[in-house]
Amino acid sequence: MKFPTQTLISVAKRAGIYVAAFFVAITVNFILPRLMPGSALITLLTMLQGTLSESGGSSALVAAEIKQIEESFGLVPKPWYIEYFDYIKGIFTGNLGVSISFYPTSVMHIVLPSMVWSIGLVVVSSVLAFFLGSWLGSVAAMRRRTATDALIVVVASILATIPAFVTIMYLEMGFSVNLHLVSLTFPNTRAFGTKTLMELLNFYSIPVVGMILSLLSGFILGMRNNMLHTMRDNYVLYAELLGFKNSTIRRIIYRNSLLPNITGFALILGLAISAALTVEGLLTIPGAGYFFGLSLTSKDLPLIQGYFFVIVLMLLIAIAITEILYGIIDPRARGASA
Amino acid sequence: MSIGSRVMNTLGKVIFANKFIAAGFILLLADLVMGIIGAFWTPYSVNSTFSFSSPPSWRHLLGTDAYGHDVLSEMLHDTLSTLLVGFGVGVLVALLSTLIGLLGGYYAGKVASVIIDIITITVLTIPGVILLVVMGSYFRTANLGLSYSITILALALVGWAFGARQIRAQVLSLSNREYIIASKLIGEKSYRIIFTQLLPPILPLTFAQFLFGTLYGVLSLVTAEFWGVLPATSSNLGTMLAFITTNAAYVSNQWWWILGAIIPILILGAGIGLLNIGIDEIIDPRLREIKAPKIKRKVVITTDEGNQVTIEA
Repeated sequence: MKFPTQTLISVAKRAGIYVAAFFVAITVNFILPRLMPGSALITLLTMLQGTLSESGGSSALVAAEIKQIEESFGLVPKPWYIEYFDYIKGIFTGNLGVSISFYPTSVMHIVLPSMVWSIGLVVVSSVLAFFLGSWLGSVAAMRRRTATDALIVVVASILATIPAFVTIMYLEMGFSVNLHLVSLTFPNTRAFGTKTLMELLNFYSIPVVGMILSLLSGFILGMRNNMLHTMRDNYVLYAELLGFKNSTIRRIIYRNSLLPNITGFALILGLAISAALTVEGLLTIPGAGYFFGLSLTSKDLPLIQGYFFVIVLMLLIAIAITEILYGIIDPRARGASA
Repeated sequence: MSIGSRVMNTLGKVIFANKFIAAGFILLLADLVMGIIGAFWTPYSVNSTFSFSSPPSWRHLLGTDAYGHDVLSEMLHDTLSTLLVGFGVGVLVALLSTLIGLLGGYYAGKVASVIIDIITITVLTIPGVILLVVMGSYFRTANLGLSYSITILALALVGWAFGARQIRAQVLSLSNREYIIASKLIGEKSYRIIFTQLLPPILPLTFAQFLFGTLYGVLSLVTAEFWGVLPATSSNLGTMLAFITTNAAYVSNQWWWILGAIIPILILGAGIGLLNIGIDEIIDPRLREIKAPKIKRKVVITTDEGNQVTIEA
């Protein structure tokens, strides 16, 4: 594929905006703890002193850790710009502080490996939801304002309002507790082989289906809307006048509407990651959701903040990739980037 | 006729001219009425206990939960707070996305629109649920409770971005119309162009944002409550679901308990879905079916042989 310079310029412009958004996002992460009630951090520090002395670390090390956390949460009176500079330096060296409940493991060492499971769940279910939702949306659009249309849109809206973990509770109740078709517990992944893989596939079938069901609505509505617009375009009228078969015309409309539906990922991914965390919390999958839950019960604020930061960053990267790719794939999006 | 009654009249016409909007509107209203009734009256007191985990019966239409509470009473009692959070988020999301979408579209290509673009992308990447959970953990560590108003505010502040993008795209296409260019040429003030000429045509989209915001608000509150964000004293459908998960009610087949926690959400979702179908042609007048009169015309054709043949076309 040959890229004209104009495409490169518009891609570079978008990339610039995303780099700026990256700095705004890390600034939000810096400001958020400082906006919260301050006594939280003081409670945290007394708790930390307790945890650290229990864990039997040397007192000099403990003092150093406490000092570091005090600094990273801005409890040591320092001008904000020095605090901010230290914080940025920490970000670029991958230093998000140490976890309290898993002392002395660093936050990054807990967050990153656990996110792998969650990202897998989000990617698989949202990509499947994209195709299924687009197809259902096209069916609804072709049968606009009929019972089929109403059924598809209303059922999808209901599924979108119910959290994924509730849908999954019902699915597990039916397929796992009563029919014994699917395993309810996460398989042991220590010895990885074909058997473990089958067990994983078996276990993940319900979480993935549940996630797909709750993510469908955005893609269905998006596709339905795109199709309704495309149907009125001149080239579709032209195809009709040429006497193309209905199925051919439908395929033309479908293909031209499918690509813009990719923008729906911007809306879906944030909801998907929240849903994935709750599902992991519910089924005790050793992904981000499980450790996130642990950090909440143990009031491990550095770890909670670490999850917030990593999730926001990953969403930023994911949305940037989809949007820039979309700009390259779809020539219509190049001129008028939204 | 007073302005108030004229507005009501127009509103009535819009609602009842379209069966999807009428049905959706009635469902939302029924849900709200159910919540209001539940705030004042429930079949049993929410604190009275009966036999544990009994399935639905005539005495307890939705059975009882693992603590022996009547599920129907709990459901009615918890509905209003959940719906109010949803509607609160919906209203704020509609306002924010409309205002930011209008400004971003009107000042497209200017520095202001670049700044709006950067903020929009940042907000798009902050999931409401995660933000709420993080905030809740700070409040709890400080032995404070997160209130409903802070919850609504936080969810709305990170929920407007996708809608603002949609509205901005619409404003961009409107800005090239002759009447807007004419207004700019005669030196009309920007705020007048924005609020009297650009705003009215995008109002249906604003309403769509309200629907999305409500759905997002309820979903986020209920999901965040899975992690126990609000203080334990508050009661909404999310806290009910949190009790359901801690008791693993799905492993012990207590389907009625889960159902009780989601019936008001089911009604809300169905109402929003129907309204969504109903307003699509108001949003885009191009979709309005032009009802061609179905009159069969008789055409008389004279053939080469001189015979006259009548055909219907």
